[in-house]
Amino acid sequence: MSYNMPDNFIVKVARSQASRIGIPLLVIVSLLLMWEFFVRALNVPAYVLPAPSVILSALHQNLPYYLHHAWVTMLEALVGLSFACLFGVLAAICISLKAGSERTALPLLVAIQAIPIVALAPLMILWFGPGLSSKAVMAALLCFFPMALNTIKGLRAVPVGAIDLLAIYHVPRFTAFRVVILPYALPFVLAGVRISASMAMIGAIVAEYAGANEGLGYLIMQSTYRVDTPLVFGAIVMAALASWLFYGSIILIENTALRRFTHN
Amino acid sequence: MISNNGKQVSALRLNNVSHNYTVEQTGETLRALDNISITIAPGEIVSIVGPSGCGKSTLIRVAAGLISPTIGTASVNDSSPESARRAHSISLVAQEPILFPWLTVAENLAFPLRIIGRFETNLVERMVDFVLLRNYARLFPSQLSGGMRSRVALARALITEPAILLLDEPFGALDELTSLTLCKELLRLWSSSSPATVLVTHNVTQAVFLSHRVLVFSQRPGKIVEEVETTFGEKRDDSLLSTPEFVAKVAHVRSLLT
Repeated sequence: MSYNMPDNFIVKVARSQASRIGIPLLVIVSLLLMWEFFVRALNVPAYVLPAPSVILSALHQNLPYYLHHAWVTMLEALVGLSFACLFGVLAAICISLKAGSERTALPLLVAIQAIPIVALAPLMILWFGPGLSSKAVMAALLCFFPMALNTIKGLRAVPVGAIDLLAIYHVPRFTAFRVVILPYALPFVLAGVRISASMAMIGAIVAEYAGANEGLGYLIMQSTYRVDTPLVFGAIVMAALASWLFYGSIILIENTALRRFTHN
Repeated sequence: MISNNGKQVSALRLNNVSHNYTVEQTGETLRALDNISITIAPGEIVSIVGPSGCGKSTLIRVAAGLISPTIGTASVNDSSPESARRAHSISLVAQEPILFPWLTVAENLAFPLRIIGRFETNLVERMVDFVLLRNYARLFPSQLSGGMRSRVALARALITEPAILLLDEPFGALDELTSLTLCKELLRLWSSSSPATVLVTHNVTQAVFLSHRVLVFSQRPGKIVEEVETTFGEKRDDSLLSTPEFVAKVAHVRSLLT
């Protein structure tokens, strides 16, 4: 009797991978083809709804232009995310340092989150100018809440036994934070960064809508005013790609850090 | 144990200790421990058995200085438990072996040594060999069985050679066979530095097998119902478990609990 299990296994894995990637890809390609077909068949003008081929052509012709604006938006999002990480984590540490302070601080954090931050965009332009600062502040405001809340959760996740152990060995507070509490909280902090990554891009683009000289939000607004719809769609595609790249980089950093600090 | 000047030498002493808890939701005050007085000599193992909620773990926390008793005093080597902690004279092993998941077995063992500034590679390697984990030294806790994790936690508690070893149901989460194996392992490890040891356990056989004395606690508030001496000498192995004296002692302690 031949033992053909490994072959079957390889076939099964290959099939599962193909269905995991292949099916979504097939759906996307089918939708694009349908879009292309209907636009051509119904003679839809390009300023209303351009065909995917027209969008692709716009992207190809203006690639350096798109890349420049995408870079500006990503930089704004990155600066905003960095500030949100710094202040979110610091706020969470301050709140966690004093027992019971969560009860007063958490409603405040929820109140901040309840403000439609997008509505603050014009004010940010007024206060911080049309440059990078206003966009970064906007992105930071959107990211601050998930960062702070996730860090608080992480700092609470340290087992009581570990806290007892630190007390037994009389570990100084800062050392305890550095060598035990932070590694326990790290998966939660990184989850906060992951959630915030996509919000940072949204924050930056919305702030660019309110007033900017460059960036994908600026590009979308300018192209809309000129009724250059293929360019608008190209900018939207570029924004999606930039968001994926931004999010993917954060995931990569998260996975590397988690591999180093946790082995669960 | 009596010192040369006639004074009783104690590694751990609790004098008329009572401890109250306040229930946060209702504000009600509950007495966990009631007028407990214990003296444990250096090199002595004392077990505490009793029903759930009788304050056994509270007693461990008082002895470790993690909480202060409401009434009475606790002292370790004639100073406060807080001073003893500062002098790194106390070690604690809890029911759930707290090993840091991002550190290897060897790094977990080295943790207290690094903290107290006495890290030596040789010391860690010796301990790794002593607990028979040479082949597992580079593994992470998640890659170990429950029994191995408990053994690492025990070895980590002993690596600093503490004066007092506090064990709060250290093998409570393990099956009976693994638990018995670890009891023998505990005696082997303990004999290297023989710290005064307090063992809190639900397992009467384990308590009688390991200890010089067994303190039987009442329902809450925990009081000492009886102090049972065991007189089996220092050498304790599997053969002891089936002797009539051992079986009778276990039966006696059980009868006090029911």
